[in-house]
Amino acid sequence: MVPSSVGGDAPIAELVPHIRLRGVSKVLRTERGAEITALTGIDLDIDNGSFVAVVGPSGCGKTTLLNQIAGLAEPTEGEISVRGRPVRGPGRDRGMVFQADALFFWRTVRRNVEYGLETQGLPRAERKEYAEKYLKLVGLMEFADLYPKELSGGMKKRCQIATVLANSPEVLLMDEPFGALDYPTKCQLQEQLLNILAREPKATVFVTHDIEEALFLADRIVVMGKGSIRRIVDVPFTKPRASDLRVDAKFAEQKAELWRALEGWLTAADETADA
Amino acid sequence: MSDLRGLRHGSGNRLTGLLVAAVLVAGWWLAAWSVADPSGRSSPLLPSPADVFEAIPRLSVFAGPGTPQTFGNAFWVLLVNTVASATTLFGGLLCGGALGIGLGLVLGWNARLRRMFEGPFLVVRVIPLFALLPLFLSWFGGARIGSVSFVAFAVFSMLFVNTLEAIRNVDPVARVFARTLGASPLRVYRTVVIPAIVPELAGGLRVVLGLAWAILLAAEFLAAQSGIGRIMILAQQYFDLSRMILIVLLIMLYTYALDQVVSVCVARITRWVPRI
Repeated sequence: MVPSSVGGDAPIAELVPHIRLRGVSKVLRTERGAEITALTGIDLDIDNGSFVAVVGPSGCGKTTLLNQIAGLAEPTEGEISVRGRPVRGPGRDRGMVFQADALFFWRTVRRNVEYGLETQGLPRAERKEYAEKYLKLVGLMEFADLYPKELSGGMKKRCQIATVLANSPEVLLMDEPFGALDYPTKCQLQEQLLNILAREPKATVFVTHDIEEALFLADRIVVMGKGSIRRIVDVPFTKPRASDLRVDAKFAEQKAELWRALEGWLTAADETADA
Repeated sequence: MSDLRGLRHGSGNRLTGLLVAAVLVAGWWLAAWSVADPSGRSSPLLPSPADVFEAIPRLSVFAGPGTPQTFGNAFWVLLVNTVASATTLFGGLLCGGALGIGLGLVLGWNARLRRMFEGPFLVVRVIPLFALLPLFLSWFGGARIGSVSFVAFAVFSMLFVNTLEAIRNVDPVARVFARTLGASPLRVYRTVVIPAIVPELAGGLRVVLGLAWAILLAAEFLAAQSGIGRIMILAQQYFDLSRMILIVLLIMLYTYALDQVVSVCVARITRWVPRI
């Protein structure tokens, strides 16, 4: 075997952190022309197959951070790279699941899932095979020929996730994907997501304001406040995680501890910042 | 499922429509009867529905002097003039529509291009359409190309604005989502923006089709050698209100039929649109 120096070889992927952020800052301009610092000096490394949840109060820069990695906006300062390649604009190596209904409403569910595959120029038969694989994975196979308007909220989200996953991104970015769903649907989708990622490991950045969700899904939790990282917490639970974990005493303990600490981290850092 | 609901909804509408039409005809009849002279003859200013029906053979005159006044000849006159009008209408719609939507799509592609050219093109919106009619008349005389251009111009100005507005209203999330899936900006335009604007364009087209008849008639009143508008003016010269009403009814029928066809097509191509 000839070792190739560039590309998707596992050894290299293991050496270089999958996603690397160095000194990332972002200044946003409001409609009135005022400047708002959304992110300051973010340093973060995310390994392949690792799941990072980003939590924090609204307006703390979580979504801005995700948009920078997705390449939807360029950082004012700093450098973001994915597998050693600097991020310049959006690309299919970084799939993003949006909070809103990002769906192609004029296409059936099946053709939604095929969108990225068409962009790649895959032949019809292969597209069909791939799309069906992911439709089955998210449990939408029997709804493949419906239009998105005929789906429930949870099914719409699944459709979006299938669309992103079928495109086989190296990095999965998720912006409060389950925020608008009812509790049982949310739990079910969280478990499905973990199952899928167990089969196809990806570096995942998952923005949420739900601490339970973060604890259940993530390997590490990044706590953000006012545009900077306040604390990074390692989640002690091993994977695979079953749904029983939610009612485990240790889980409740962790959740309570995190809750108590959270306020302290957020306010303490603000005081030092203000001083 | 939704198709069935649509059908039932449609048939309900049709029944109400028939009822309204019946009431209107009855009202017309009563009005005509109340202004008729004591001997029972209708007033020439308000013929009754029966008078209008009896006027049908008299349309034969428009085929040329001395043409026998029969239903057959009348039908022939209507056919010839309908074909003439329809040719103008669809010619104008096609040219104006292609230009309006095409230019809208070109300008909608790029924000800078749009800023540069949108203003000048929007001037067409403030041009008083019917005031242009004498100009078109001077340019083209009575040639059919004049009426076609006039209809095309009107359709262009409406659909151009409609297209730009529709592009502005496309959900940015779908565009951004397509970009993150690896689509190039051109591909996003082709596979997201264009399909997404279809419902709004279809709605605009429906309005335009309704107005296009009025615009066409205006053009034909002034200049045409043939067409429905032309025979309307001829009937007016005879001071024959029965024939004039007959033609109005015919135009109503055409407008309604066209709208029905279009609404079925629009319902078909916008069946994916989420509705609350």
